[in-house]
Amino acid sequence: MSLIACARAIATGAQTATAVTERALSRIVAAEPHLNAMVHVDSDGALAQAARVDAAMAAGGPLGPLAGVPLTIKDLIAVAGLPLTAGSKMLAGYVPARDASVIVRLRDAGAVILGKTSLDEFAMGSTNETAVTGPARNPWDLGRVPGGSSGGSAVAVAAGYGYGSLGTDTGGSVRLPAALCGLVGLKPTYGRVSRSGVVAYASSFDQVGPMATTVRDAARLLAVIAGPCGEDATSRLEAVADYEAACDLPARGLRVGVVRSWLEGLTTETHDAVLSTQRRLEAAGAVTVEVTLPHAHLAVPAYYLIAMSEASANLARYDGVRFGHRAALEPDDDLDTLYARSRAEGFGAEVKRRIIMGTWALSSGYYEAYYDRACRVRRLIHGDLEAALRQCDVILGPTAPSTAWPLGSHTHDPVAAYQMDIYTTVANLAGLPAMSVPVGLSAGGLPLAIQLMAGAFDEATLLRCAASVERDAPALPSAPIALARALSGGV
Amino acid sequence: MSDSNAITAEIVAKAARLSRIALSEDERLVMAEQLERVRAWAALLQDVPVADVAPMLHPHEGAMRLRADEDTGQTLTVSEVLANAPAQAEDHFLVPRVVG
Repeated sequence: MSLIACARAIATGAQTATAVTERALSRIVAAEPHLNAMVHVDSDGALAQAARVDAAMAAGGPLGPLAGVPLTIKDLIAVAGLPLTAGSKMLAGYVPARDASVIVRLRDAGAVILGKTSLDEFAMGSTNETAVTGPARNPWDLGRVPGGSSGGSAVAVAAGYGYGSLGTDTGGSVRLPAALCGLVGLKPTYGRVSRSGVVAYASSFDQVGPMATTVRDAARLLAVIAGPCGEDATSRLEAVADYEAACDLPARGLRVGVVRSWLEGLTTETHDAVLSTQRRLEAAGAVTVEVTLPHAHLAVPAYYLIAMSEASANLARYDGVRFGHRAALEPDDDLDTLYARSRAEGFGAEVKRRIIMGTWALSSGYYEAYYDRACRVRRLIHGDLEAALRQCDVILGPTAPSTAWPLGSHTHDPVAAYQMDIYTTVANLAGLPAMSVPVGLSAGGLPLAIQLMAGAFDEATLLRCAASVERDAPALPSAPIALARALSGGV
Repeated sequence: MSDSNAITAEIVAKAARLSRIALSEDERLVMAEQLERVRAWAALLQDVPVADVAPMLHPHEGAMRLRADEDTGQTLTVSEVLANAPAQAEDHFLVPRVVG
């Protein structure tokens, strides 16, 4: 059942929110030993909210667009009263006093929050393997990564822990796990969704985005969380379009940009998935336009230098004084020792690497050659996209170079791991909306995906094209086969 | 970029000190090797002519939209703020002695 169908079933009285929530919680209990996607389950809070929705329904009161729909939340987003770890030992025991703005909006829409999902530590990773709680497992093959950093959210939705999730996308962290787990994942335009109450990683890139099983489900989630917010000075005033209505529009007349250079370096199946999608869009009446992104091959190093630099500043707040992990000290230890030991003990290896590399890139003697140069390359990439999007309405390409890869493939090679973001980081550098859409399974039974990108604040066109891709692509099985086998006691 | 920019254990030690992250000698050596691989890969950017290109620091480069300078009524209370403090006393955060 989709999120939209679930909301309709509750709104029409066909199902109660309590029954739907109990089913989702039972699913978590059964599947979590195989998947490791949740860091906190709030059964009591979820059932209490479901009961409130059922009471409102019985009283004939108005219901919100997500009334009674169980969702999960990436553990980088504050939910008042629930632990917020950011996937790190550093924030063990931290409990926020306030909801993030996106959580306030979900609650106003009637959503039921099941709990918090696993992520790469401080969202720094593409596989979920840097999570302090260990990696979540891909429900399509339990020996493979789910993608990251919002890997727990992707696994939760794919495994049926509710009907959608909120992730965050700094360099692909919504789209990549969505692609690897057979879901729709949407990174909105920078400024489209409030980041108030979201743990900062790289502030000129970070955006909250929905993950769901259908394009229309993602559209509804986006409609609920999008719009200006007084608590986030980077949120923007542009009008929020009718995203669900956009899903009904045909692809006929859409100009779809294709970047030839992006078809190199892909596995054969991923390559064919992009070309098949192009052909199906053409059959639906879209027009293909060849576009070029001459600087796109520079996106990943530019992105990482900037992201690490911004992270080195953002993560300075974890000092062992106001919140977070604090090292045990000897009587004569000073304040600097408190900082240095608390941070050494609280942060994992990848987070330390990025903070130290970012500090280096910003330091005297290296700033011009690395951080400043990366920011100039960022403008070139932004210019490439502006030029391309004058010739087309959306850009079609891959989300990831391949389907999900085995756990542990890149653990000792950071550069190889960073290259998995080669197709996703351009949208973050330019601040543009982009989404991953599933397009069937590989011969090995793993989800295939394509990526679409559109102009700033044009999520409606993105969703219009994505809905067409979804209508015409081979459908995925209703549940991941590997997980079903594990749950029935098979290998 | 020339090797004069290579990241060594000494450079890692300096950046770690600036970052306030304690590293052992072994950790510095491992990190220097890893970060140098990242730097050498990122050196791809050095060949791009960018002298006439302004740095892009943010997707929306206009002025920030600020709210009115007034109390929103959403200030955290002292007990809410201190609830997550690892060490506190008498409504204050505790730190090691800073002045003699």
